[in-house]
Amino acid sequence: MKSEPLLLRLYISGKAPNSLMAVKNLKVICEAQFPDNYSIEVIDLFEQPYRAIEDGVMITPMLMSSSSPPVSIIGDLSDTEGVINALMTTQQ
Amino acid sequence: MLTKLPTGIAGLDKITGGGLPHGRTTLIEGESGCGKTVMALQILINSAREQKQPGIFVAFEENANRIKLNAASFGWDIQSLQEDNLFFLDAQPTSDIIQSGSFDLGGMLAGLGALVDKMGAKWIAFDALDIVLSMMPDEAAMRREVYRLHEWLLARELTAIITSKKSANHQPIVPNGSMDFLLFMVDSAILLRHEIVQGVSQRALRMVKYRGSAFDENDAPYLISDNGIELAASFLTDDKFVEVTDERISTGVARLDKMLSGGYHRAASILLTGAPGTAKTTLSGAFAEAACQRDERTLFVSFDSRGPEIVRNLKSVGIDLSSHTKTGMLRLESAGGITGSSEIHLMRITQWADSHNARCLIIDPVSALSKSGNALLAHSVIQRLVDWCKQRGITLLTSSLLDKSGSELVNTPLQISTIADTWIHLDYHSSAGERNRSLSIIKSRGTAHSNQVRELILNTDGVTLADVYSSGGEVLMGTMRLEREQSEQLEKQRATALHDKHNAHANAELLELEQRMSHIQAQVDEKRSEIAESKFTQQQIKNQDKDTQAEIRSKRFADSHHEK
Repeated sequence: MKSEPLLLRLYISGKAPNSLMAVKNLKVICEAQFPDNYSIEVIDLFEQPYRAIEDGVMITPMLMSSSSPPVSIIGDLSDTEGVINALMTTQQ
Repeated sequence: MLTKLPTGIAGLDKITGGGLPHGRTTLIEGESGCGKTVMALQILINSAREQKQPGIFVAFEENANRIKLNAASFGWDIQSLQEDNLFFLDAQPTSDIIQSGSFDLGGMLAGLGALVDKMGAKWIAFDALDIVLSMMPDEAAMRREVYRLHEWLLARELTAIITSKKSANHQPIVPNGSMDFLLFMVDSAILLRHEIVQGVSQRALRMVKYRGSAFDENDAPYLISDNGIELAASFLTDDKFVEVTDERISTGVARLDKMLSGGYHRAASILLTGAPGTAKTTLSGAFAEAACQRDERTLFVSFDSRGPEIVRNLKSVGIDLSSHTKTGMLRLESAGGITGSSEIHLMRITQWADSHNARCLIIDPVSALSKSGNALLAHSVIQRLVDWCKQRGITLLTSSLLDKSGSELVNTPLQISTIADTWIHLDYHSSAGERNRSLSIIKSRGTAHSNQVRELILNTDGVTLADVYSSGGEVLMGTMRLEREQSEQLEKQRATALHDKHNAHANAELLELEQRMSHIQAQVDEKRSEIAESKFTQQQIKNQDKDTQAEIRSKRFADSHHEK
């Protein structure tokens, strides 16, 4: 049985190393764990700074799930296991 | 050149010489509960309203709605400020946030940058920056983010306030490193301190650094009042004192006016000292009544009794305050129940005096200010109270409890004797089974005053002073004085009677002598007329003789002429 697709939003700040790293790490994780069943929206706050105010994003990179309750993960997502565990809980 | 932006916190602008450095960052440090958030918020609200400089308040610790509520409780009309003038940004990290690897504040700064441009913000406050810094994995990361913030602020020429918690014992408040570097990064820093001394709250603010500017380095006591943060230094914002006058105002006791060549000086500070029950409050009340009768608004602050009690007690000695409280000329405030530091008392008293627009201020007794943990502060508080009154031309009458006898008077508990322009000491004299009150003027600047001790008499008609008799080095008062007065009266009467008697006697003698004299005069006159008469008769006889001879001669045709 195929579960609901995972909707993710990743806030980054331009080409900051940890932001670029987060994008890369997230793609790897999703491909491995949720193949073809995810969608990532990347919001670059350098391009849309007002989203930081509107969405209350203080720290980048920051990953938010659309699940309820939402899961927020800050950092470059280099702790792969932790990220997977957090995302798996939203899937259940 | 360094320009300063006023904070609108009067005392702070004074000790910083004009406000916080424009385009630079100021750190407000202190333990929790010191008022860091209040101060940052107050500065932003003042700037937005008074200086028309928009600001952004980034709240890391408390949610923006709560902060707005707090602001409203201080009576700051935050509703009138639009979001364009003061923007609150909720920036509390959610508690269940998961950390995974390196992160930074880049996103927030990008968002704030857009907001600053849109609003034209000049001020920004980061409240409780320590909260977000404590999420960093190590001190190096904290430093990196603080420098990122610093660069960002500089690039936008924002005047910033950062508040951060500080522990009392210099231990790092976060486990992952010290935030002391914050202090090195910022251009100016304010340390707030809150201590409990003998159960009394004492708050003090100190400027720790201010690059490129001189500043007052001393502790400045402050208070979080109904209006927000108030610094003690704010009392001396203008160094302008009202012109010194030679005007005299009545003490409320006619005889005392005379002793002070007309009364107290206008805008002087007057100190009444004495043991309990020496009529300090009564003299204070007499002064209050006299002031109200001159239509001068008066504030009477009592630490001992409640207003109605004072009115009742003073009525028994013929001082009627109730009519003046009814007209609103007199405001009676009881401060006895208010615990707190002397700073708080001072602020409250000055606020009362301001709102009442008082010309005369009475504090009974001012020595209450040095109670419970305030001994060290009280002297400076009273000094400032005296200055505050002088600046406004308010005549200040204070009483002070003093148990010591006259010879030890120089060290009053608060050493306010040196501040007082006029110092009146009230005392008891106990002799011959009586205790009688006495009054003496110890000093009165710029006044020729009586050096004599007077007896202070209280009765239902009011307060009067009487001469005291000194006899064999002892002053006589009360019954002994009355006795002396009576015996002197008797002596006088006796002397008068004696004198009268003597006078009458002499007068009688004189009268008798005069009568005798007139009698003798009459005798003299009589003798004189007698002599004159006899002379006349003799002449006549002589003439007759001549005529007779001539007749005989002519009869005998004598030829010889013996006529002359």
